[in-house]
Amino acid sequence: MGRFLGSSDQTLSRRKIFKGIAGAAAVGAGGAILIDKASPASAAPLATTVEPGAVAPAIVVLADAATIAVDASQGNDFRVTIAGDHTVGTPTNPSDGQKITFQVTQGSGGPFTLSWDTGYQFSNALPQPTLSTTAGQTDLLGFIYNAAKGKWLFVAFLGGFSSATLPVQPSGTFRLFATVAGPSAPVSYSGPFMSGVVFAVTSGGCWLDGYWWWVCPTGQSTAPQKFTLWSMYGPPASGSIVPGSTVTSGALTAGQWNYVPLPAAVPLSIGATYIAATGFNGSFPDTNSQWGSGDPYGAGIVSGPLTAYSDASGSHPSPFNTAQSVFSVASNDPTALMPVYGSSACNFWMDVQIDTSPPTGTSYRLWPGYPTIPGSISSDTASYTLATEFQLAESCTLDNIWFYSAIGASTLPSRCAIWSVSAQSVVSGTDNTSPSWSGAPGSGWVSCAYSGVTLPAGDYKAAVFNGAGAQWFQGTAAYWTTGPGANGITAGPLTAPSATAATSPGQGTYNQGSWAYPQTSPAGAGENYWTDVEVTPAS
Amino acid sequence: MRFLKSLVIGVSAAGLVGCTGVGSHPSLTVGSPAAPAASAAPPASAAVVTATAKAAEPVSSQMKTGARQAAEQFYSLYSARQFATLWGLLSPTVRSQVTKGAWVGVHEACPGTAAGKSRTIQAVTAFGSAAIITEAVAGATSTPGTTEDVFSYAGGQWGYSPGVLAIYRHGSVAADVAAAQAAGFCTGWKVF
Repeated sequence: MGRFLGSSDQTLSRRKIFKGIAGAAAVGAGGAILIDKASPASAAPLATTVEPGAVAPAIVVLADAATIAVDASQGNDFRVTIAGDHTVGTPTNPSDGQKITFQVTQGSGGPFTLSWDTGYQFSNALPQPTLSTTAGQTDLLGFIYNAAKGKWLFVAFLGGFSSATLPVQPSGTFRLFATVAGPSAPVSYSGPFMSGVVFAVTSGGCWLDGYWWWVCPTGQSTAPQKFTLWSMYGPPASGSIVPGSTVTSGALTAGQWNYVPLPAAVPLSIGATYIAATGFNGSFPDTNSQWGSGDPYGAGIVSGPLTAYSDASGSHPSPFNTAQSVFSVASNDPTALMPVYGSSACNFWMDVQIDTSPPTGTSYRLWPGYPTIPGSISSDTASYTLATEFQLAESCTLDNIWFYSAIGASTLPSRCAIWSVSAQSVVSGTDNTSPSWSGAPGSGWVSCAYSGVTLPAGDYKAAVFNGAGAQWFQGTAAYWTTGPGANGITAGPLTAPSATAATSPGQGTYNQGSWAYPQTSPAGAGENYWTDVEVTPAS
Repeated sequence: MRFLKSLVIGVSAAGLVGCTGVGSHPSLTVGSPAAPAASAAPPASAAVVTATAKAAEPVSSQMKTGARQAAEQFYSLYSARQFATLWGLLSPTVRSQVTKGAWVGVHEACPGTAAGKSRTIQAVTAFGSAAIITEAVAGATSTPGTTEDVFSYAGGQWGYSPGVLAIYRHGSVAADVAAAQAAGFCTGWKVF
């Protein structure tokens, strides 16, 4: 005779319920499970136990490791993304008759294989399977525990499930947590929350493709949420949103990393400090002690040109004395303010995808995606021609000359042009004596547009002049010697050489008093006056 | 014109003085006394919130109790408009970035509609060395009627960490107050 699972039975673990219904359960469309323990002769509607609501085995996200540890008391549905040729350990705490499944997903950089510990047994009819070889694909494996044999018997295999919500990470792209799963449960909380991760890119020619966000298997919101990218400029908590970097996701999927691509990849700048942030309501993923000294990421994370800083106690602390990771409860809108608070080197499981492959037809700059430059306007009101030397590896069209007009500037350059280094003369068609800048004085980066000008491969200087007698430029000392430009900057065919690699007298040159070829630079100064150029390959 | 080899980017420019006028070399000296990096950069030890030593962290149950007590004390003084005393209850890292004069000046001029109202703590969410206090404000009219504040544990004590530090960085109390008014804090019921 079947029986109704009363209140006292509701304390049964999910694993026991799963075992109890094995072989005699049917899941209805509404998720109810019908349990029939009666004999065939007594089978009748009254003999059927109806468990209201869905009952699902606990999902256990396994930590990928050389030997993947499995605790059978934690559930029946085990999932892991592998990033190497690893061994699946014999599950501890088994129960006779227990059925478990593994969902094994190939990480990037594979294909990877699995070996099976001695606690697993395979048969001639169903030998050890060959796993999928494509990154992102998932294989499903089933085992039943036979206590008499002391073995987990391999009973089922289905391979090659692709994921519609987990796109394969393309080659040439970089993430922070590509092979690591987030926590299985979030910190319980109700209210607004923002999570962020502090990072930088260490080379030119990098684009932000999109964001990755971990959603715990249970307890965390799967509603669409907004993502954005901040550029910090100090003092702490000061930042600007990088144009084009805000996107709102669709519905999210629990128990996995969710990729939220940008409509168009956003170019990033070497030397900038970025915070990728998202906002939502409710519980949030968190793992304590991740970024500090002695923690897993105590030295930060380096993934190609993508670098995540450590916490202040680690060996690669964030600039501006900012924590890593960061959070805020002031809003659930990541564009409303920049999250800056940290907590014991907690990891809030925010990630980005950086791409070194240029989008089709892209243009190139030295400092894209860098809306506000750290520092302040110079008090110097003198007349100067200020320049940045650059080289083109191929013929390019000239799109813009850019100039950073710092906060407090009251005037913009009155002239701009491209100079040929070899001829020390202005390139024909580039001398603009009354430029129409794209923004107002003091508004940050402003551009002067060009059309119909092609610059052959060669060595040039992008130059601006201002003789208005008012504050107008911002400079950064030692930028090209010991700063971010110490090794030069290359973005596609565009290269700005370092102070030592530039033509004499070095990178960051000027001419005082008049518009003329800029050829003065104090030895070893490597100063940057933030004059940029934007070009597009001609072919 | 002095040649400023020693300048480095960003906040390190804070210590520069003098060096004005015109010379043979573009001076990188910051030009405005009110420029943020020239006056507001904190010392190197002043993180927005930095990790405290793990050994100094209280255990979870103590964390919740300690955070709740700190919040209760803070809200009590906030209701009493004891803003000078409240400044001492800010987290050390925030105190290094927000001067007592700015804090007191802004709050005395812009105390917020609910500064005198009572607050009831509804939940304490503790993680790492931080705690989120969810409180209900008596008479709050907007939905959901609760708000959240962050308290951080450092140096053996809990301190309040305002959600929007930028309010206090305009170079003068008057400018800070104007910013607070523009942001709606002066008519709101949230602590800021």
